[in-house]
Amino acid sequence: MPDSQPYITKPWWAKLAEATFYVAGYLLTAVAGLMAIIYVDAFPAREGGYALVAAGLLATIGVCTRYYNLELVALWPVLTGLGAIVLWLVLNDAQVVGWLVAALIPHYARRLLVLVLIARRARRLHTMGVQDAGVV
Amino acid sequence: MPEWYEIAVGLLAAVGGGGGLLAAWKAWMSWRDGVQQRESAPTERLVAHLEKRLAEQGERIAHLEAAREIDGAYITLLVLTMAGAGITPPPRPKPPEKP
Repeated sequence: MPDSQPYITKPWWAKLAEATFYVAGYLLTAVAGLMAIIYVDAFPAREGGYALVAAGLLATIGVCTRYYNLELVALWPVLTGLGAIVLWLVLNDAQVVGWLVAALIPHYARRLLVLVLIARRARRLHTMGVQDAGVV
Repeated sequence: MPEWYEIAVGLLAAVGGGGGLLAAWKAWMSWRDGVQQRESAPTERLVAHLEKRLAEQGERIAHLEAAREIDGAYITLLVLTMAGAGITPPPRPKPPEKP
């Protein structure tokens, strides 16, 4: 079943490529948040920017250490921050950029869904007495 | 009276904050209970082991299928030889009649 594990483990090049894409994605999210704080400095883009910076860094740590629960926790503020920034962009008539950022939201939401299911299965299997619940 | 977009941001913050807090609380509980939260080296070893076992099983099934094909060919040959020699298989026993 695809997405039965939080991250690709094999082959090594796919593992490396996936980690690179995730790290790049979350770091760019943090950079976008930083730009919102520095250049926009208006409600609600600034607040969204704070959420994106904190969550982007937390998710990067999660991907690098492969602690998928960190990424899972970080995805909520990422979605919230993106939502707030989309709202600001559309209110300020930046239609194209606004809808482009809005298009990112379902992808992050899908990743959140996958990680929620993996964490839920790990807890369930642990309750059933399966020790290495990351895989089975 | 707040603007509509202020209410929207408030709702977003409530959903996102609530979800984040819930996820953090669950992650904390899992960590406390010792639930594996990390894709670790043991996990990868287990995956490698399972993949190896799966390959072995696949090989075994392929052998069985090959053996079955040989059996089928042998039986076909036998039947044809018997037919050529004019030997017919014995009639099947009739099922016992019901009283």
